[in-house]
Order: sequence, then C-alpha cells, then structure tokens
Amino acid sequence: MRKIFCNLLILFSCVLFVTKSSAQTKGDIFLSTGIQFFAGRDEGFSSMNYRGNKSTSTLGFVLTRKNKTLYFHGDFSYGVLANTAGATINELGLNYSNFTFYHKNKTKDKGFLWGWSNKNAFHIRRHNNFSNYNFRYDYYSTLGPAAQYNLPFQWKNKMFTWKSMASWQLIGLQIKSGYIGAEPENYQEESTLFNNFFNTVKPFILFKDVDLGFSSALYWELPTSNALGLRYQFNYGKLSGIKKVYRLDHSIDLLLKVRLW
Amino acid sequence: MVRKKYFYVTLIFVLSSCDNWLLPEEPTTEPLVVFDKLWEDVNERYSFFEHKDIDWEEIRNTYRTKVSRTISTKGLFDVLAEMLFELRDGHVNLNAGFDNSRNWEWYQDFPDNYDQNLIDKNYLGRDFWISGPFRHQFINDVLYVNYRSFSQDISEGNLQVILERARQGRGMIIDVRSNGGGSLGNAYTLASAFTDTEVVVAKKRIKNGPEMDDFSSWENISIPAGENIYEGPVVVLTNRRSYSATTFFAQMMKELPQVILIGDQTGGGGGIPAYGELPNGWTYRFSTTQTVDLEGRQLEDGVLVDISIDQSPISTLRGEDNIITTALQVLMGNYDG
Repeated sequence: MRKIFCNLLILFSCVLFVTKSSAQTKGDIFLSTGIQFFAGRDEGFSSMNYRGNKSTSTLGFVLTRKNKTLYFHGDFSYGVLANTAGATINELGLNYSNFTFYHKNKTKDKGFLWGWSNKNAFHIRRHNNFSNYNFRYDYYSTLGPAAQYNLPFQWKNKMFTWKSMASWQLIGLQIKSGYIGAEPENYQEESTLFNNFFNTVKPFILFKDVDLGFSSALYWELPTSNALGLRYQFNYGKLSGIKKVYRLDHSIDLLLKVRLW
Repeated sequence: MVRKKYFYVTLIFVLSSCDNWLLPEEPTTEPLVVFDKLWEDVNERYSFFEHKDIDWEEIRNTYRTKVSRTISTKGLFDVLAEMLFELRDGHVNLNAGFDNSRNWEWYQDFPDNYDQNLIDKNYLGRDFWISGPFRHQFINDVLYVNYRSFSQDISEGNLQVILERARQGRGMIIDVRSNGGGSLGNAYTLASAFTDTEVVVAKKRIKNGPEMDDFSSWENISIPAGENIYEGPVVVLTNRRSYSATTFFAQMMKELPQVILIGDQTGGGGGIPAYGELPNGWTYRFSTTQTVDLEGRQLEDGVLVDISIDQSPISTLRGEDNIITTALQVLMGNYDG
C-alpha cells in the first residue's frame, strides 16, 4: 500500500514538474457541495412526477493551457423523491463530464469561449413501494457543443469573476432499463457481457433525446490565486424509448477552487 | 456590464421556473382518467390475456360505464377491483390504503388439505427443532421439515442443519402446503441443496412491448448447483395454497430425480408481478411474465403432483394427516399406490 502511495506521489510530482516547467499552464482543483432540487419521471415506474431534494458533491480539475482550457469533473448526488401521493423513490446520480474550450495564444479572461463537451451520466432509482422490478437505471455517454462566458469585475476593491457555462449534448449512446424491470431491452441472461452490451445499447438521438446543461458561478478571487464561489446549475434530460425518462434539476452549491500550479 | 448581469439573473430565474413546461403534466385524478390509466397499463403489460382467453376490451366496455365523474372513492375502488377480479390471478391487487382487492379463487374453491393444529400437535410435537424458518422433527426415521413462507430467508447455516439431520434418517419430507410464496431467491437456495449440478427446470419470458404477443425470447430457469447436498429421497407436499414462489419451488423439485411431489397441485402464480401507480396514488400489481415447465405447461395453472391425494376427514378425526402417511410410505418403500 505504502509502495503504491509512494509511486503515485512520485508520478504526481513528475506531472507537476513537467507542467510547471511550462510557464503558460495552470492547474486548479475544485470541490463543491450543495443541494439539488430534483424532479423527474420514469414512465417505467409511474405516470407521476417525483420531486425532492438531493445532496450533491463535485470534484473537478481545470487545466489551462496556452490555447485551450480543459475541465474534468465528476459529481455525485443522492436523495429521496416523492410524488403527490407520498410514494417515494431513492435516486442516485453519478456524472463525469469534460469540457474543452479553445482560445488563441493566451487565456482569455473575459468574453466567450467555444468548445465541446462529453458527458457520461448514470442514474439509478429504487421505488420504495414496489416489491418486484423496483430498480431502474439509465446511462448515456454523449458529445456536444459547449460555451463559456467569463466576466471578471471589481467590487469594493475585491476581484470577482462571473463564470457561466452551457452545454448541449447532441450525439452518443445510451443504455437504459427496458419495458419492465431493470434489465435493458434485448438483454439476455445467457449472453456474454460483450454481446449484451451491443444488444442493449441504443443511439442518443438529437431532439428525441435531450441533455441541456447550464451553470453560472460567482467566484471571489482570493490573493493566493484560490477562489471561493457560489454556483447555480441547471440540467434537463430526456431519454426516449417505449418508457421515457425525464429529469430536471437545479443545484446550488458552494465551491472551493485551489490553484495547484 | 450591468445589462449582462441582468441578463444572467433573468436567465437563472427563467430556468428555475421552467419545471412545469419541461416535465410532462401530472395526470388528473378524475375517476375516468384513473380508470383508463389502470385499464391501459394492464392492457399493455399483463401477460396472460391469451393464455386465459380474456377479452380485456369487452371488460373495459362493461366496467367503464359504471364510472362517472361523481362516483365515490369507494365506488371507484369497487369498480376497479371488480375489473381486475376478471383476470383470475392471485398476483393481481389494487391497494388503496383503506382496502386491498384480490382474487383468491385459486384456492378458495378447493379442499384445504392442510391442518396446522394437527401438524403442531401430532407431528411436530413439543420437542421439534427450529432452524431459522424451518421447523423440523423426525417421524419414523424420516425428517419432516415444515416451511411456512418463502418470505422467511434461508441462511446456509439453517440449511446445513436440516441436511445434516436428514442424513441421519431414511428420507426427508418438505411440507410447503399453504406456503403462499415470497422470495424466489429462497426457492433457489432450498432447491440447490438437492443437486450438485445446474438443472434447467423451466423457461420464462417477460412482456417487452404493448401488444398482446410482445414478449422477450424464452430463457431457461435453472437451479444452481449446490454444495454439500442431500442425496437421499425427498417428498415435497403441496396444496392449492402453495402459490407463487412455492409453485416455482415445486417445479424446481419436480425436475430432480430423487424427488416426489405428493398432495394437491399448487395454486399457480407463475407470473412475476410488476407494480404501477394511479394518478390518485393507489398502487396495483399484475403478472408480467410467463413461466412454463419443460413440457410447455404454464406454471400459472399450478404444478401437478406425482401422487394426488386429498386429506381424508376420517383420518383427520383420528389425528392423522394421511398425506404425510402416504409420504412416509413412499419413503419407506411400502407405498402400493
């Protein structure tokens, strides 16, 4: 265990040294935690909407290079949702996204940046009032355009940045629970994992399937190059099929951004 | 810059208030909407219309006329319950909180073939063993095991106790009469104690679309191979109240060469139920799968026994369960048919 830890430390130091030697590269890590107001419907469970609050946490990394900025972040959310009659669903969401924004020669501090994003979303839910077929899930991996707008400003001699990002997922693939139960359509117990993957995967089709994301964060830039922020995030998703899935969430979270180099 | 700030504030406000037009509208709780929702869901997902020769369209016409906008809550429940009763399925229920509809005709019209007091008094006695969900006692050198519900989980330790005890005798009787089912996992666990190889026992398929014949392909149901198994002769006792997971267990045991089923056929329950919700919050369930034995017979119709015998009232009066007596004769090798 100690050997693995030492190796990782050496590797991390090398990466840090190599990247630091490139004077035009910056690396930031950010952590956030907050609350997510979630609403959704899985027609495989019910024709009713379920709403509730989930706790959410994010771990991310931003790598700013000479002519592009890369964001990698994973988030986790969990909570109990209820319908108007009081039935409940436990919902867990795991997302991993990365964004690439392009800029010429140097980091653009103000204005629009354009790029693309890749989103990998996995959601699993359990209906607490059903005894059988009470688990359903969906997963998709998609690509689409993304935009970012940065607005630095000064207020009472303190530096702030208003950073907004939006993404629209256009193409990709999806796997989700089928007509009844957790197993996707065309899943066969006797088939291999490989065959089942190809039997059950379906395309993420533009307009029929939707994933829209928007976030807006206000950062207080500290003199140490670190920052504290308050972020609002909005996501809307819809997965087509014989049993459609709708999902919409608003999150408010507190952010800590730490400059690594 | 101020204008841009206003733009963002407005955007956030718009996004935060867009739930109602991005999510589908909630269905209303109008009685006819509730009726149609139940009828449509059952129409699209119920698995035995063809097998039971049920005309669901005609049933809709019969019961929909009984629903009006002014019908009482109990009145609506009764109409929906009567409509579901037509499915003749013990796995169909409507739960409204104040009542739970059901059709229990699968056992109510048949002999009980089980007397718990008789078992307790004359067979288990006072010194029977309790190992988890099993109550067991030796009767004439044969281990009699009584298992009341497949909802009661079986641990490996519980199982090994009865297997080890059975090895000291000449056979084993597993009494699952009036066991109404529970978890299929327990059925697999118990059945795998009697085979050290995987055995295919049935085939199942699940509804995968709204049309009546939209089903997945048939898939095998197998008992997993067990370890430290019991290889002696086994008799399984069933009656019409042996239902659902108990029917599956009976089918599993029936395919094993050293097992004989005695009593009355099981009640059925070969369709695994899925659940649904109505706009007024009531929940319901109904069968969404089909399971057939290796000859293609639906488990929904029950598993037939090898030796069919009803409990004799005269035997009961003299304190004897003649079904157990028959089982003992079979295990001792002196059953003459």
